[in-house]
Amino acid sequence: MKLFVKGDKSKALCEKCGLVSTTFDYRDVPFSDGSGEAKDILVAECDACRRVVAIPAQSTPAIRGARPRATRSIEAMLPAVYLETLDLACYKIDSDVSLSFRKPLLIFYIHQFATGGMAVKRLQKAHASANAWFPKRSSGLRKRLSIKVSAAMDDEFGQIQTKTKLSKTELLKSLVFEIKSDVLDSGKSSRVEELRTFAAMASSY
Amino acid sequence: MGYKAAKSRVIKDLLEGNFQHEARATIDVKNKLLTGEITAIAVAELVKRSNGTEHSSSPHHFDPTVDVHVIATAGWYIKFYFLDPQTMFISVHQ
Repeated sequence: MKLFVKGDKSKALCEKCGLVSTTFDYRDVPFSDGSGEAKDILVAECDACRRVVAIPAQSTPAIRGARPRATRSIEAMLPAVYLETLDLACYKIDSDVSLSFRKPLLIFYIHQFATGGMAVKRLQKAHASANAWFPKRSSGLRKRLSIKVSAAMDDEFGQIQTKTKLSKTELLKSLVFEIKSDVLDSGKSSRVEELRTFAAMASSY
Repeated sequence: MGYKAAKSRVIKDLLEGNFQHEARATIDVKNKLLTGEITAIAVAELVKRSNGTEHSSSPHHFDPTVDVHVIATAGWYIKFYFLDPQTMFISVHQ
């Protein structure tokens, strides 16, 4: 990875001056759509006219951080027992984080299934098991499960939906059942320990 | 520089983080590689899967001696040129 520091030299094509030598420095640079600016990012300035003519790859994280994030909702009305199961799993992982860990825990599983860390077949099996474990007659009281996620995470959720052919509600139920199997039933200490580490990280943000 | 040489070099520079983005006083929000909406690894994958029929090149408006390469593949439009020793991206957008 090529990294630059303030004062380093490079070259670029300047709109006004053509091929020029450049010098790196920190500047506040506006977004082209007028939605604000990224403050104090490293840029390359034209040595002739001092305009910002290039931006190095290392400035992208700061630019991303300065952009307003689009969020989407993943939500469904679930039988109350699913929310209780999810909350109990959160409580078992870390009694201090509890409800605030709902979202990171679900995201952890969504990401694992979307990226192949866990096999999607497990979710299809979990769906069948969930319907057997929590029969419809127990679904008198329903509660809303709603998490705000990034567009990328929503896309990952959509990918799993496509692969499993499950509705949003049924997929969330399957994810909760999978969490139940891992955390509450099987006593997989390695997975619970992994999630405890993850909870410690998530709660520090 | 033809498609094969340009493809090979841009992939190498993407994977090694050896690139900058052309700017005209602002951050071009349509350049998704610059704004972090797509990673350099993902762009390298797109370029790897592209073929010669998806490539074109033309002189840069600011300096006609510089060839600007465009690879339009899988719904993405990747526009760049080489300014030794780095690749300069003009845009990576859908």
